[in-house]
Amino acid sequence: MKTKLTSVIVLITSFVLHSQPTISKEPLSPRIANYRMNVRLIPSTKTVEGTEILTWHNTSQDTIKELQFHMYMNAFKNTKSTFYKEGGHRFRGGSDKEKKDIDWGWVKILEMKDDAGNNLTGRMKYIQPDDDNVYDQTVLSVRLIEPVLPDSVIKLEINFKTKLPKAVARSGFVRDYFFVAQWFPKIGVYEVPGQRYATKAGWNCHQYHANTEFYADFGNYDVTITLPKEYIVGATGMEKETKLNTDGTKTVNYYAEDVVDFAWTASKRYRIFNDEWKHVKIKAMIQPEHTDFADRIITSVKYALEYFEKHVGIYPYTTVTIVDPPYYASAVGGMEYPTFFTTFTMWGVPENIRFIESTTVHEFGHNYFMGILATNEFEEAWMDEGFNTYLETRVMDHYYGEKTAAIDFYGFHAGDFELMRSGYTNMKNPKIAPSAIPAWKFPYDYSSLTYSKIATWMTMLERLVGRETMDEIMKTYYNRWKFKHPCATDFISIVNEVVHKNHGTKFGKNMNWFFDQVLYGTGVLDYKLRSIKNVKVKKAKGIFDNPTDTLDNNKINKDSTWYKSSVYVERLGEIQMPVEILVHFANGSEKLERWDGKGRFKIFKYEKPHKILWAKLDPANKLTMEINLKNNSLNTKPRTSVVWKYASKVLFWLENMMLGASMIF
Amino acid sequence: MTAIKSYFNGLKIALNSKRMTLLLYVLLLIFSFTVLIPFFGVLKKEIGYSMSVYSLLKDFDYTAYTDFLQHSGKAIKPFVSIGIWLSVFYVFFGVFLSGGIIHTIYNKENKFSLKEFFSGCGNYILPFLRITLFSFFLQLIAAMLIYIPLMAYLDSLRETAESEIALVYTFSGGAALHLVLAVIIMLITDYAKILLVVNESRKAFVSLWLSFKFLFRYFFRVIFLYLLLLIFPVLFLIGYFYFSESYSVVSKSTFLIVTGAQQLFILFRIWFKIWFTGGEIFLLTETLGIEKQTETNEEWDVHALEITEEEIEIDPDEL
Repeated sequence: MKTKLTSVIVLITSFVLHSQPTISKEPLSPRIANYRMNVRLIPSTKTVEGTEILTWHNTSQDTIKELQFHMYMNAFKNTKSTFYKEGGHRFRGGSDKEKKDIDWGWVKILEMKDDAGNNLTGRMKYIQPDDDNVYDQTVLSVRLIEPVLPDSVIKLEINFKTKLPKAVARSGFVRDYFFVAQWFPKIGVYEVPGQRYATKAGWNCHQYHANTEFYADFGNYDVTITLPKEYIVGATGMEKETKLNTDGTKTVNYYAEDVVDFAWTASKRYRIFNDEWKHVKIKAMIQPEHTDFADRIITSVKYALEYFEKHVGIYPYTTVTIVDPPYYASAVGGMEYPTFFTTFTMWGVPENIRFIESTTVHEFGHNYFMGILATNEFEEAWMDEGFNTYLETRVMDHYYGEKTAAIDFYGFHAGDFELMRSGYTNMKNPKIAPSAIPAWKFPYDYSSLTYSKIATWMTMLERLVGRETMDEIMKTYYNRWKFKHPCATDFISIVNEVVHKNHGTKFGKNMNWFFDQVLYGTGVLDYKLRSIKNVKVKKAKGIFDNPTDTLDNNKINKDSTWYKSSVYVERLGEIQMPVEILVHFANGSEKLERWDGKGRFKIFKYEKPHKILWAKLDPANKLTMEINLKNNSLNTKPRTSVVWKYASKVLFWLENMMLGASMIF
Repeated sequence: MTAIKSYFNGLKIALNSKRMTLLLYVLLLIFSFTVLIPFFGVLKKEIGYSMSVYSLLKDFDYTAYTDFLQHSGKAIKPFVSIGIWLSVFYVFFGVFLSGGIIHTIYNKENKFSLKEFFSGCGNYILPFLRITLFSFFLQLIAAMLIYIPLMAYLDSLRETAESEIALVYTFSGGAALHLVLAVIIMLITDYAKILLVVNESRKAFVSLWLSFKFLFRYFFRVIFLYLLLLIFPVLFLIGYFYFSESYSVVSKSTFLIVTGAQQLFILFRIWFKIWFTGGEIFLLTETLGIEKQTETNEEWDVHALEITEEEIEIDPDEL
């Protein structure tokens, strides 16, 4: 009876939740920027046009005379945009190939009026706050006729037209496939003093660069799209209504609450797979040739939902849509939008090669890092990419194996974290730049420094403070900063607070020393086990004034030996971390030494009847940022078995290569 | 059927060629050791007293492997180039050896003689080299004829194909066609060498022409023998693959087992080569009715041909 009642309650709750876009009837966010749009997709001209009603809330104490908008689509307008000049068109499946006119993209405001009916169209101008590139039109400034008073709302009616580019950098069309992202005039974020690093109020509205992503306020989106009826549509939020029109089109209405963005897709070829996980409706939109992957994709999303709920916080939305773009539109793959994201697949990929799963888990994770914890992706790209990558490696390694999560293919295998870590440790120059710089300022290796390096040091932090403390840090961060715009100092404060609460002063007064090095610094972590010495102690001989000067001789009788041994450890890198050293003696005993890692060297000395056989730095693999594992251990009796094993492999493959080559001719 | 007869005769020849097999294996080993010995020394030095690679003993460890390559790759990389160049050199050495192999098998010496073997090697090296070079150019042309238009077609197909499956199948089809062409050129090369020895000739291009004729006149027989000869090696490869998946090097005994199995595999590869050659020689001599040094088939005798290498005429009737 009790079980039946529980089931009924769960059923009713699910039903109720499934009819609303979030788990709460109350607003989850400040809902500063709310959009109601009514647009039409014209496939033949690759354009989207319509009306946007923007309701924007001035939460500052300032009287706002100017609004700033992101006009992201203008990055694809011509080769003089900042995006193109920085080489962005080569990323994500792009190329230098000659473009036809139809391949370019842009967005244009045809008319803008405020709620008093004032026409603001003539009061718009493009600005370039980052690089003074006068040809870049990705930031639009609008001088208001009637300013927006503190704590007031302005309503704007914006008629706009967007020409979609041939799929480049996350958005566009290819043939009759459409992925529509960053497609509408999107208002920037007006930061108030004390919000993030703002000391005074002002617009935080950057241009669209090759390496940058996005930053926007939370709000509700009510979007109505009219398009030919053959098209299957997917979008952020939940589908509220679909209406067939008499002219061969249909009109779909999507609604999302408390999100920072809205994207959508339309194609005639999608196959839809539906599933559920607790309060979440899962929808996978798969290409016909990839339907075999639907199960893998949905399973990995469920894993991610379960893991994030347990270790970070509850997923607050009731929908998640995964889009599998066709191979010819791969430029839109692997990208996130609230409750809606694209993954990567390829026909024929076997189950033990898991980039499908890792991409799906990663893009899902962005719902948390950047979707709910809405960091500024321009200025602190690492806060969403790095954090999310860290969680991705945890999810993948937990469900698919620490040594096999990424790939497990006929003897060659690697875990997700292993792969990610090597992206940092194998950099040609890991000192090139700190991670905590604006995304457009990276000289190169943007992804190594924002994804891999961050995930690596976050794992190191976790191993230093313990998994439980790390989970508490993430949960506190999530609960305190969800639906807000946190920055680095906000996260670091939480780390300091939780670590102090759980560990006292074990790691010092606070953890600032950690972040100063790994986040704000460019140094590398490299400790070296320089030498092991074992010196046999001989009986002291000669004339001694004091009988006690030869007391040591008592230790050494004719049947025993005595050794003075030492282990010499050096710090070669700039980063200083507490280090553990495991020393193993000939009789099997071991000693775990600890060093604060601050000086340039440390010597551990012993006087024992047994020699030191081997010693190993960081035996528990806590120092994941260590760039050279080869110099972390020494064995006085080295084993050559690995040499023999690989020499015999090399012999075998060399013989095969020679025989194979000689067979052909 | 002649092909089946040739298959079993080839096997008989291979079973009676243990000494030759061993000689070829030892020569291969000597070649390999010229790289392996310094490689062993470098690897040992690079690992030194570090324990970081011990985890690679039982199983593959991505972290240990990539970290080692990151720091010792510079020392190891030159051996990759050396290995490639050695293989190129071995191609020419293989040409040298094939003269001895064919000579020994065809002359059906009861007792294997090193002197006879190397005499055969030396005797045919130049014409065999000419055949090999010609074969190399043929292979290059075949590859270009397939892949250049294939890539251009794939480029245009990418604009219209609904899914990547079309691209994969198209490329696979092209690659399969290339494989067929490559095998045919390889067989022409093989039979051209055999014809040179059978006819005791040094006319490489005439031999190639006769080989081409032979292949296309008795196409199905030749291909059938080739496919028959492939069965055992393929089964053996599958068997070795399953063995290698089941065993890893964790101790001295497993090291010896695994290394022993690897070298046995190489020995068998060489032995299969002799089986192949024996089978091909038998097929050719049986088909053309040629007995060793007693009869000649004038149609297929290089010396009987009045045309020179520069004046090869194609008689459609003969085809």
